[in-house]
Amino acid sequence: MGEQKVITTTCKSCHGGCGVRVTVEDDAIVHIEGNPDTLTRGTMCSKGLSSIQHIDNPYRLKYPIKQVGKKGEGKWERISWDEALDTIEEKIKTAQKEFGPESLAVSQGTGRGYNRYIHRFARSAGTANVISPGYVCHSPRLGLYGLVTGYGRLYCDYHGWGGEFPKTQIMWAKQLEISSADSEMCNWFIQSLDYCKNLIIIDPRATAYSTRASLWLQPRPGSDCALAMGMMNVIFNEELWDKEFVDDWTFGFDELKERCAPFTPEKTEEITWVPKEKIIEAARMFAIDTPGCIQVGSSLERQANCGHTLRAITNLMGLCGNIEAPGSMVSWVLPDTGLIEDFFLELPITDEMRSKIIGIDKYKMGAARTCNPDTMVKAILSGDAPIKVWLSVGGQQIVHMANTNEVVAAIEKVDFMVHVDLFMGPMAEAADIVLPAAHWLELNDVYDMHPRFMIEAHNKVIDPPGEAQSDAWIFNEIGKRIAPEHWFDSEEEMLDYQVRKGMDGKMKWKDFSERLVSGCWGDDQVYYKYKTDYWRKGGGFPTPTGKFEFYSKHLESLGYDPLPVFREPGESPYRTPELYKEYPLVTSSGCRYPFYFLAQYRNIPWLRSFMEYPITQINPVDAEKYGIEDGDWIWIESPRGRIRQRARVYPGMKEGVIMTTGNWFYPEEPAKGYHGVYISNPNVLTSNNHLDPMYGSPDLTCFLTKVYKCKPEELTEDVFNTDEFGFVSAAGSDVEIRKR
Amino acid sequence: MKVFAIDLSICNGCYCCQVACKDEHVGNDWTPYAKPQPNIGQFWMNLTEEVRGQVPKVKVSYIPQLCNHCDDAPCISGCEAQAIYKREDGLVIIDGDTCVGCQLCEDNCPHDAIYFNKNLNIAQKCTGCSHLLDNDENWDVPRCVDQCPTGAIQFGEEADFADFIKGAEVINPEAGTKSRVYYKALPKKFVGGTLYDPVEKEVIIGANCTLKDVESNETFSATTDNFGDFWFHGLKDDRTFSLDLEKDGKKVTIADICTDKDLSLGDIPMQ
Repeated sequence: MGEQKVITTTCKSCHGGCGVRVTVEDDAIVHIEGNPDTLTRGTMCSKGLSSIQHIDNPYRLKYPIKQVGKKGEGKWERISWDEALDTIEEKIKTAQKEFGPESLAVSQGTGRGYNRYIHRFARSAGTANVISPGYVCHSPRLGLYGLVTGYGRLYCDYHGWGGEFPKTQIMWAKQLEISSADSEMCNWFIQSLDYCKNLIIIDPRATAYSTRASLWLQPRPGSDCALAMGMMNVIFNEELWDKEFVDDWTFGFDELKERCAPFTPEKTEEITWVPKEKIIEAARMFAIDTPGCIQVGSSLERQANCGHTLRAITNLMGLCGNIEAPGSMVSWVLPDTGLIEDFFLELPITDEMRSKIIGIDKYKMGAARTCNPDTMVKAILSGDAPIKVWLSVGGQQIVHMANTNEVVAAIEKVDFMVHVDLFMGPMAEAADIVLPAAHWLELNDVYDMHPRFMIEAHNKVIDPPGEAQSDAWIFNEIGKRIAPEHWFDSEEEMLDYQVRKGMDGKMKWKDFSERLVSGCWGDDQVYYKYKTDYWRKGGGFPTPTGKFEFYSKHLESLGYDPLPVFREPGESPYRTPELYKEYPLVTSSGCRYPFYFLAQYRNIPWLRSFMEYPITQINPVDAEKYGIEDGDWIWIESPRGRIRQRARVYPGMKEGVIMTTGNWFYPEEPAKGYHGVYISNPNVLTSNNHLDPMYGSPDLTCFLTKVYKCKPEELTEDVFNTDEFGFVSAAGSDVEIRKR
Repeated sequence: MKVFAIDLSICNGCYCCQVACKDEHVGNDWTPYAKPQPNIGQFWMNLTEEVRGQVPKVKVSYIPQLCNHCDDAPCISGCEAQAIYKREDGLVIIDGDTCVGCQLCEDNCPHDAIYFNKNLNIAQKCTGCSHLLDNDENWDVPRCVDQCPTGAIQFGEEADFADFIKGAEVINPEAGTKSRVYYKALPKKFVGGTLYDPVEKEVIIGANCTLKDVESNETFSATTDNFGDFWFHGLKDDRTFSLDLEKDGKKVTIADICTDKDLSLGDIPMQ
């Protein structure tokens, strides 16, 4: 046995944030556990705990490779980093010269610490055509919080630092207890429930917490804006609003009241399929038992009315005075290292760059600093998009974007694509060059996710395999070749630069790495900022009116409705009744499971064995109606196409609604067909024609389908015909196979 | 003597226990406590999901299941190779070097907690991470317990858990194996429904609800809440009941309610 050492770092198996202790022996990881001396108190999740299998994984990319066949053929040849970087430099520079800087697109997956690198790189290269999944995850709420309160980051105050915990909590389309992508919040949320009087769960399916909740509302997916307006209607009618806050600190109360007037409990029940008694009770609980908070899930942002939905929910918070009070919705004070996003914000998007953003003419909120990905797909297909070079990191646009067929067709048309990833997958197969990325246990970096009061250190534990490199290194190297004036001599110098404001301007990466976290919490947090000079001399919110804006003049000036509007999804029982006759099930492209993160981890045996195949949850009554039994393979069909998933007859699913498993591809399937992305991925079914007017978000969690049983002869692909756990044998792993 | 004390009312179904078990035992040879657990296919700690009822009255529970470390263990008494033994601290261990792979224990275990490893030709199961308890001063609980983020799974001296055990149950009590794994909040049958006035189109609040076991005449009472809902929790399996719902001289009776499954009786009109 060699010498053991323990290294403390921060997990990034989702967005990240959990403190971790890793034991290393002879340069190999032998043990991973939560670090009890951190804000997550030693807790971790199944994803982080399985990290050993991520490091040493048969699908892992270890060297730069180039495609030597056609895109999607899976013919690869190893190349050197020099060749890879030289080719990338040459392709980018040629495109910039011939077609302008906007012909470079830069894309990312969900925020994994590379956000600031891709934004800085894009800006330094003169393009704002950044393709980010933010428009279907988190950006709408930040934008709307920003519009209404002037400050873009509102968080549930689960911490009790202000002397109070939330008395009423609403979990809206979210299971923070198992799927907190901002992991440190999960732990605090669970602790805060000890002090919670009313827990209200809004979810079309039953969960462990709907079982224990004070109230469980099961809405029709896509009707959430109406639900929020219906709750506000009750609060107006019963005069339950926070009089002091509304009188002194809000703008547009009368207009909002008028706008919500049609949403009587009866009308709201009709739209949302939630019994009116429950709507009334939820409104009363939230308005009377204050302080309270609302945790929203990104399902609401995967809908084409997300802007107004989030606006209505934010207004509901303000109406009840649940803003900036201890135990309500609070914006946090920055750590001494400052705003980490300044790393890219310091390079502004110029008017010239902005004018070339794809989709900016239409989606003025969503396409302000990133492009609208769905518009880009359409534009590439029609030949109108200037995109010639696409630099992609982490994300699986082929998997997560609406209308897979069109997305693949568009991506295949791009002249030159680079993809950076840990594992082989659909986006890598579509690329010309693939660069191997380091895992979070193999790199030094700054964790910067959502709660803005802290950043944490990812400390390198072991060396990456082969020639894999960190995202920071990769972007710095490409950056130095394209725009050297904005990049750094070394990775460490870049890390120093990012934390330089800490310790009164003396902090270096090494200090930060040892400290593990830089944050502001406890007594140092500031509540009721609007009552002080914090945002504005004499008090007020940092909005144009200085008030909490129920009514937004800014939105009005952009040509949007200044008040929340409920719009039916693009395809729904009420908007498209004829279509509904043929496709009678309201469908969501997915709830969350504690062992997967978006499109990730189908290649991790410990995690995949929880759910080998994707499941579609269907109510027993509906299942019987369509002749489906638990475990059957079923077709799920929309006007765009059909996919196969396994039926899970789930008593807790709302009747008339089904929940598919989202973001599904089969790593073990061949490159051709992009690792089985057409077999089971619900985005084969979704439409990119009907988008949110503000953010351009498509209806991913509210569309119409029909279901029917597969015939045995329709299950011809390898995934259906290998032995159980074929994903492991396909990867060449020698394991014992036995099912309980 | 050690016990596991598992409170299902705070288990969120995060599956950390199952993965922690994998992390501890896959690829690690803890002989004489345990040979390596296979990568997949065996779940010495196995989390199952149980969903009961019909919408809108549905209850979801997660149940971590493992070797019950029985005091009267059929795996030990039935093992012809004498490869299975009980430790002084109550934990039951299969000695991987003595096991001959006859699979008798797997058949004898009423809790489905023993797995057969074809490659090694041995039976395997939870060891309570006794290799940690014995040899590492930093560990006084198994990995699954240490990793549980909500504290739903606990482990320790039986005497320290006396209060917990008083209100707890075991799984498969009919097997009579004297399990050392105690559970609180194991799923029990429920009957519920919603009472409404079809003329007023309003739910009926405050109605008296009486559920009577038709054989034993045992009765349970409840009152409809602000949603017109009534609930009877903690009912025994496979009993037949009749239900009376009454308010202001109006009455509805529902007969032949059987708790072979959890029941949401839906919306019940009363005029």
